[in-house]
Amino acid sequence: MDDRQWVRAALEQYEQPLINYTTHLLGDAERARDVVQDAFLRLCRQDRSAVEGHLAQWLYTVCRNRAFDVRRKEKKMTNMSTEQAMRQPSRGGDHTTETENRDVVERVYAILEGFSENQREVIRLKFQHGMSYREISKITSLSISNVGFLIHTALERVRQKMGVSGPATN
Amino acid sequence: MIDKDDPRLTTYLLDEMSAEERIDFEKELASQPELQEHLQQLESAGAALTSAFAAESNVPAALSDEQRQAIVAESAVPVLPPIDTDVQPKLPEVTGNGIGRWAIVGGVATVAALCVVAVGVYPRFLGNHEGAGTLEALPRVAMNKNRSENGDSDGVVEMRSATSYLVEEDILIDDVLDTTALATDFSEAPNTKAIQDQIKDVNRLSRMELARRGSRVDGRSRINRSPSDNFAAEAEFLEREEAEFTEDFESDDVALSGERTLSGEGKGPGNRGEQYEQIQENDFFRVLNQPKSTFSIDVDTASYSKIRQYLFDYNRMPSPNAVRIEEMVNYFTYDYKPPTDDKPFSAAMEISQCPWNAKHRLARIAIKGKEIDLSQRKSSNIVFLLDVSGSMGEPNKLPLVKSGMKMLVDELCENDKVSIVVYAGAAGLVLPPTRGDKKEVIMSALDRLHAGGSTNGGAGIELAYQTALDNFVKGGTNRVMLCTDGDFNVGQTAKGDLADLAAANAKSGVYLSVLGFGMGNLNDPMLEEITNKGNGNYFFIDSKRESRKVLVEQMTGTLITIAKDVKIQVEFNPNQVQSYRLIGYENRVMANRDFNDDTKDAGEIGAGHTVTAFYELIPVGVEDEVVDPKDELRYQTLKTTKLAKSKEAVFLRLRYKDPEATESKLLEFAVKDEGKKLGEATKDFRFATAVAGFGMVLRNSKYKGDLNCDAVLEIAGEAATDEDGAMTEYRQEFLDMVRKAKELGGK
Repeated sequence: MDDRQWVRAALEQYEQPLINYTTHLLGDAERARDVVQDAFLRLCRQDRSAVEGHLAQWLYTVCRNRAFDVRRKEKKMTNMSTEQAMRQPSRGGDHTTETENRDVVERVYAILEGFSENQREVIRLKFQHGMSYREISKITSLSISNVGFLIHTALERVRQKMGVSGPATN
Repeated sequence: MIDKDDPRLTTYLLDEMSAEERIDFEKELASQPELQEHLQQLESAGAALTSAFAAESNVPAALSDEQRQAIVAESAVPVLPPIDTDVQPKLPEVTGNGIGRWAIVGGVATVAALCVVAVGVYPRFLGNHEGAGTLEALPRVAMNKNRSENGDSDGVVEMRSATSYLVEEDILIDDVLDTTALATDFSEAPNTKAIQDQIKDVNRLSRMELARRGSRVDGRSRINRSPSDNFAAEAEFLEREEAEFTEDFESDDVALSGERTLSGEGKGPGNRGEQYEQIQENDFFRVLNQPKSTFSIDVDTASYSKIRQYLFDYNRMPSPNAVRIEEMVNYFTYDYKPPTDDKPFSAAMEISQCPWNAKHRLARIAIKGKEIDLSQRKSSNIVFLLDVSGSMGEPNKLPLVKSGMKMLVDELCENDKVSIVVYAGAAGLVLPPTRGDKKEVIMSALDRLHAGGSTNGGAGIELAYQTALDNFVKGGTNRVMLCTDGDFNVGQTAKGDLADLAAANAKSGVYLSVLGFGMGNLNDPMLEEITNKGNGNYFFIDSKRESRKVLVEQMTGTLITIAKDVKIQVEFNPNQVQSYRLIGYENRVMANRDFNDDTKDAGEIGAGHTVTAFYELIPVGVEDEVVDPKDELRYQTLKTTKLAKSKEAVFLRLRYKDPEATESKLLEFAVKDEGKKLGEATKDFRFATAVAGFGMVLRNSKYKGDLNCDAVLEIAGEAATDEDGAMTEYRQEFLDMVRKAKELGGK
């Protein structure tokens, strides 16, 4: 694979998850796209061997740093309800018709609202983006044990809120 | 015994454990079959999350065509290869991340998986965790179990990668300074010109010189060495390299956005998790527009020890944001006159020439807290709150905590009570309140501590405060002493909540001290904020000697608060002073109206503490290049009082509360500028000036003029000695630090 193909493959694979991730950090898909584009442009200028092996972590870290730059510049440091921001489009384009599934999704979102911003981010990196604790730790600058704690308490809360009548018995 | 709150449950479920941990954990699990159901529910909860998020991937989220085209076009531009590849070992590649997996699994599919999960949990319990079957295959997808477990190789890969990255950057610097690649990189930087100048500066130096300058280049030069035969040394070396390179890798973004220069200043060693708040240096204000300036005192010293650790232990320039000038100046004890009346502290002011700008004046506010004799110390109730989470296991953390605590315990007596609360995965009281003379009991409790588990600071601090309240000594010292590497802001407790908790307890008389340890996780703004709110002080302990200084030599100051909410307000006489600037105390600046508001919290002063603050003044009649002269009022003219015609230059007002009081007292006096030259100022004045100046050099302050390390050494060198020509080891050490900074290229 030459460098060009490599970048294209990376784009194919990570474009959507990165936009999703960054949108949650910024609460705005437009800016998120700018940030993601920027990350890929930087990837092009990057020596390939420098990022291969941990490409995802690199991309997420760059997007995160950039997103926080944007936030600092726009003084948008107040916690915004990004969960809310994402829910509307997600239902608009939702192909699922199963009410059961939608119910689970709704309840999960409601629970997520109760978490702090960094806890939500960590949860997303784990359960949406499939990152390991170690990768999450590198991306977010939290320690691995902290990541583990945040994820456990989140899972525990979801478990409690979903209750035994939740998906476990379905 | 595994608790339901034990994060290891999830760690296990998500297959994030090392093989060793897993074997141990499974043994424990086997003895608690009742946990199986709990684990199942947790797994379902995880699957529910996965499912909910997967639904989002149905929403198209793509770049615009233009954006994609730009990327594809850019990808055709060749990247220069690294030059050092020959010495770099070929390292195993770690497979990429399972993004696709998560994104691809649609909502419906995942719900299906979810149901299977519920039924299929949990084959691992039945024995072999690799015992794959169809049932396990699904949970594996849902819970992301099949990830690479080899954390170490991951780290190595990263280290090596970062190296190549640095090399690439060096090539840019050396060879393609004017190419578009670089221009694009810096196009957004507000100070592009400055950065390019710096690049040219760097460019002039030979590679050898660069290597000597330390920091990023230093790191690379080390990697060029042939691998050592000594395995242990090599392992340590790799670890260190990884830490340093991770930082470079991550902070690169900052460099590109222009907030960082390419000179020798590093963000700090191993500071993947090291967090500092951006410090915006105080600017000059015109007296005509803003005649008053108000700030809260601060006796923290953490920043100074942190800088020392950067320079001596890590051979790096500290991050400018780690440099808080007031904490540097206040690290030293000055020979100020103690109060002679019944006031808790004395205050004085001295004005002399400004060393970095001869036309400017420097006004020093000097406060000295009343000394309290050790024998007259009231009884105390001290709760040690010790972080024993896994990250504290390093030699410069928990062992240092223990030795520090032992030093303090040595100084205590039968009137004192000590309790120890530890926190990791869970919080617990490991030593119930114990009299200070039962040293063996306390010491052996300290000896038994070991690091392990994750951090739950929130629960720990609540328990510590509760213990302190239960054993409250009226009129005595009631203090929680938190020892942590800073991985504290965890659990459900957000930074604001912790600060509120600290503030509420401070009101009921339990104060908080924070001792920060180690490198890597330090959450500096967080620790500073909770001590500010908790009527406490914040130290950074990098050595046994620093423990001794904070916990033994200055024990009364650390433990006994003699005045709280100490605020300083300075009013400048417009007939004397044109403009002024507060040096340091950036995050202690208060609104003028808050000075007389007793509900507004401010800093505390301990027994024997000295507090020093400097204002740089531009006298009337001196050309003021700093403040825009056009900034004039259209409708108002200056109307001065009679006193303005006096020789007074500034008027100082101080407010403070006695430790138990809720109403503040006021202290005020005027100061004249006698026109002293720097050489005529007291030695303490000059030494403190040098320390502040060093801070400005480290911060690369725009007001530092031609101040550099040599100038700092010149001022400090002679002023560091006392009347007999002797120098305290702390002042001696300061000189060593300046020399070290000079060597590292801090100009």
